[in-house]
Amino acid sequence: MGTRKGYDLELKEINDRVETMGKQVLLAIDRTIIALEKMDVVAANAIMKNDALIDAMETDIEERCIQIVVKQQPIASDWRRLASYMRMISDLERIADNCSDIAIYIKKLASLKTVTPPAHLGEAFSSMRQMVADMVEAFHNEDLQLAEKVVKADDIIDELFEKNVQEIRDAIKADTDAIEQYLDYLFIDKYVERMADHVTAVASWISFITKGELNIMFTDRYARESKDNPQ
Amino acid sequence: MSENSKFTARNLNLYYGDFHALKNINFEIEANKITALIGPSGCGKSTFLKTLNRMNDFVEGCKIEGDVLLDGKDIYKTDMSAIELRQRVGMVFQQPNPFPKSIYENVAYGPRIRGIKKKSELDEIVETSLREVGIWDEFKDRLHKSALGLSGGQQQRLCIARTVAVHPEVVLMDEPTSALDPISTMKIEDLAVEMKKKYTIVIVTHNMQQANRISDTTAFFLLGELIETGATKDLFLNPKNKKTEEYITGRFG
Ligand SMILES: Nc1ncnc2c1ncn2[C@@H]1O[C@H](COP(=O)(O)OP(=O)(O)OP(=O)(O)O)[C@@H](O)[C@H]1O
Ligand SMILES: [Mg+2]
Repeated sequence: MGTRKGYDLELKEINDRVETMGKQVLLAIDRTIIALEKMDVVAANAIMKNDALIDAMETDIEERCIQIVVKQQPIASDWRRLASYMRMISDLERIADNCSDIAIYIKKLASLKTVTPPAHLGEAFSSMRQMVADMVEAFHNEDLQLAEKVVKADDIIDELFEKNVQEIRDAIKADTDAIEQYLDYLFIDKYVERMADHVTAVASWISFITKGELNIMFTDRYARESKDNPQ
Repeated sequence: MSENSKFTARNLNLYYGDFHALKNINFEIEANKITALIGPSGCGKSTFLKTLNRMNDFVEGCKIEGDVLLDGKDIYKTDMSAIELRQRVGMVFQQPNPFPKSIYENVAYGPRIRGIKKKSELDEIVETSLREVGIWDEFKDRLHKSALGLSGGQQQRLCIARTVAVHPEVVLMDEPTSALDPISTMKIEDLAVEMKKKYTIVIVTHNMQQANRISDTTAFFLLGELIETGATKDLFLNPKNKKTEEYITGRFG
């Protein structure tokens, strides 16, 4: 052993950068949670500005992956990693985008009369945040069990999403003047649910890296919703 | 032994004098598949390959234990002669080794020593064999020119034509492309893939991408042991053994 030192160093470098990107995404989520709580317009702008940094991280990692693939023709676990990194960073980038999407709604909400947010939105947000935190840790430790836990947690978010939709519906019925605000909350609720889907995908790539079995977790929502005879 | 197995090695041990070159190899080679043998220099790939057509008979002090079955019959313990065996199990070497004769004579050589004398018959075998390896059009106007005037890649394909001219069942190839440029290499690879419809192919290669591209099964040898064998697509994506992983990813010191 000990051959291919430059190759190993570059693989490690890419791995570290993916982890850093994951941490940045987690930070963006934390900022989004606080900005929403405080209806902080300045913080919302900062989240959107910061998105360029995460985009640049994605581009940088992607270029490194392409270079190393062309130069080194990786196979076996090296290739599993690189193929996974390239998929993971695209999902991470989408999560960051969703933070910025939510930031736009925070600014809108801040300009309108304050209403009581849907009761389960905070829980959906913090559960999704926990999934991202677990994903970052699972990636760092190549912890298959933790990655699988993240995948399972997606169902909880789906339930919370539905609860919030119900609450929003009730709130609009009760106060039609607040329809604008609740539509904004509805979008935020949807974004949180999408973010959970993306982190689920990232976690399933961790399983591919460690186990070598391709089992990407797509949302089963479409399968459920497209049943011809729904119960 | 599975139904589709062409060769079966059972508890195969090979010694060169005191040197234990193959250690208890158990391995099945499937018919009409390409099996790639990989492993570091000196691990016993060529030695194993040569046990399949008794090329080791020529090596003094070489001792073989265990069974090597071809279609269920032990090639070391039957009355099949080594000559007959080598007709059924042809071999292509690393360095193209055409005879210093014409292209035509190179291909006609095998059939001729097997008793075919009629020119029309030989003509037909030469044409079919050259067509089979895709060099008929290239060579048909210079069949009587010396084979030594051909490029390395052309020589190698001529050697494959010479091998298939005697209608073997198995073609063994020992690093057939290591002396060739990328284009000639691709031609041989395409040819091998085409050939497996008719023959069982066993190829030794140091080129991981080549093993990955053309073989169905890959076997990894190390220090005379068969460390891992499996479907090529699995072995190169998710090898079971850490030593296999280290070797194929180029981390083996
Ligand atoms: N005729 C021989 N007499 C003695 N030892 C031999 C003989 N042929 C091969 N060996 C030894 O047996 C071992 C396996 O040799 P073999 O040629 O099978 O290796 P290989 O895997 O084909 O290597 P390479 O990739 O370099 O061709 C080596 O240690 C070699 O030195
Ligand atoms: Mg050899």
